[in-house]
Amino acid sequence: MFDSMTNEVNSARGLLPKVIARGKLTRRCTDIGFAMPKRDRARSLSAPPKFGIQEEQKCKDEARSLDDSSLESLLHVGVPRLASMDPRNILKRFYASLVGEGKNDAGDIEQPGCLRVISATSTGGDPLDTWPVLCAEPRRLLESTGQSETYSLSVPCGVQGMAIPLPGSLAQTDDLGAVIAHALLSLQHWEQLRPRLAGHCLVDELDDDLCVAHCPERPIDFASIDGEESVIRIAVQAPDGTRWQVEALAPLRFHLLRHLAFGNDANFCEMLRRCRPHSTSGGKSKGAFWKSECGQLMLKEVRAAEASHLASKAGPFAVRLAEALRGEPSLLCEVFGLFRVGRLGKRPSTRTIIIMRRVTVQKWEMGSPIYHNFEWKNIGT
Amino acid sequence: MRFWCFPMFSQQMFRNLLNGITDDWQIFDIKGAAHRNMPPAPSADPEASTAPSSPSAVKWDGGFVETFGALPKVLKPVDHEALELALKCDLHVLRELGLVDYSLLMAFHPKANRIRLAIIDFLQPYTLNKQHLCSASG
Repeated sequence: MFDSMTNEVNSARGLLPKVIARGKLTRRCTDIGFAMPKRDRARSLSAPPKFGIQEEQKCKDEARSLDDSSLESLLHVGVPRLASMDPRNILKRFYASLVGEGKNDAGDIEQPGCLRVISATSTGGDPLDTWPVLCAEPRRLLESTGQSETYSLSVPCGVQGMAIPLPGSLAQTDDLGAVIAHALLSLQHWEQLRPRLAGHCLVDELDDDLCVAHCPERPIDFASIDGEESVIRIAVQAPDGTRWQVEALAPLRFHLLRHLAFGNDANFCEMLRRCRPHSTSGGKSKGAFWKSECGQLMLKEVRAAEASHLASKAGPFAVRLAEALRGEPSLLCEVFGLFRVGRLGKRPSTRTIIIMRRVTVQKWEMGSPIYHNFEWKNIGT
Repeated sequence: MRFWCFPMFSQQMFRNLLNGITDDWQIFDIKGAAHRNMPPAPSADPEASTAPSSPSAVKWDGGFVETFGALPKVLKPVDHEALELALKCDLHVLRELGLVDYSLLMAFHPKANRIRLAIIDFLQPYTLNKQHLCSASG
C-alpha cells in the first residue's frame, strides 16, 4: 500500500516513479533533518586552516557523531525523550567515569566503607581508629583532629583509605613527587606489592594487617630477597585529564628500605607529596631535579642505563643501605626509590627518577649514618 | 677504584645537598685526580651562580690541595677507624656493583673543626664509552 501511494504521489508531480524501501526512506529523512551540513565554499588547499587543524578535525568529528542514532546508543534513551530530561542527568551519563556517577546514579552510589587506620602519632588510647575511605587528606586530618569527617575526593582512594591528592594542573606544575606518592599509596600498587611482602612485612599473603607500620621486633632480612624483581606498573589519572604511568623498579627492596628509614610508606609519601622543580645547571648529566617541600628529599632524573644498572643489582646495594640505616657507619647517599614516570597521550615522555635523602643540618644533628662529622687536629697547631 | 672522571653534579646541586650548611663551610668534590683543578662550570641561573672564590663555591681536587697546602688532616683514632670501616664496606659494595665512577663530597668547617663526608653520584656504570671518555680526558 505504501509503495503504491508513493508511486501515485510521484506520478502526480510529474516525477519518474521510483520505489524506495521504507527503512531507507526513514534513514534518508533522518539524515536530512539532523546531519545535513551547510556547505561552505571550497577553500584552497594552500589556505591556512580555519581554526587550526586540531579544532577543525574536532568539528568534523562532532558533526559526524551528533546524530540521533549515536545519541541513542550513548544515552540508551530515545531522542524524543531527551527534550524532557534534566540536562544534569545527561551530563552525568556522559562523564560517569569522571564524576563517579553513572547510569545507576540515581541514589545508587556505593557508599565508602570504613577501614582501620593506624595512627602513627596517636598519643595514648587505642592506636587503631576508624576512618572513612572518602576523605581528602586522611592522615593529616587524623593526626590533627582525630575525628572522622567525610570529604569529597577527586582521586581514587588508595591503600587503607589513604590517598595523595594530585595537583589540579599536573601538566603545568610538573610535580612528579605527587605522582609517585599517589602511585605508591594506590590500591593498584598495593595489590601487586602485597604478595611479595609475605615473610618480610606481612606474616603471609592472607595477613589482614597492612604493613603501614613496621614492627621493630620483626627484622627485615634483605639478603633473603633473591634475584631481580619485576616492575610494578601503576596507572595514574590526573584531575586535569592527563594520564601517567609510574613504574616502580625494585619495588620490594625500596619498600623495605622506606620501612627502615621512615616507618612506613605513608610517612614517606607525606614528605614526597609536594615537590617543586629545582633549577640546576652546570652539571654534565643535564638531569632535572625536584625538591620536596619539606626539604628532606631530593628527586633526581637519571639516565635509563643508570636506572637499569641499579635495578639489576639492587640486592647488595639495599643490604648496604639497610646496614647504614641500622646505624653502621656508611658514607653512601641514601636512595629510597627508583621510578620510571611516563606521561601518556599525544606527547608521551618518560623520565627515570631516583629519590634520595637531602642532606640537611637537621638530619646530621639527629645522628645520620650518611655523613660523619669528624673532628680533626691540624698538624702544627 | 678510579677517581678521575667527569663530574655530574653542579655547584647548585652540591649546595642543594648541603642545604643548611652556612657559608663558613668549604665544599670539595674530590675524585682523586690531582689534575682536576678546574671548578665546575658556572651556573646560568643568577640565583645559583657563585663566584669560585666565594666560600660556598665547590672546589675540585686542585682546590682541595691548595686549600690545605697539601698537608693531611689528622682525625681522632675513633673517627679514623669509623671512616676506614665505612669506606671499606661502601667501596666493597660499589665494586660488587661495578660502580667505579663516583665522588667524595667533603664539607670542611675551619672554625668548628668539623669535616663531613659523603659518597655521591655513584649510579653510572663504568661502560666502555665511559672508559674511553676518561682516557681521553686524562
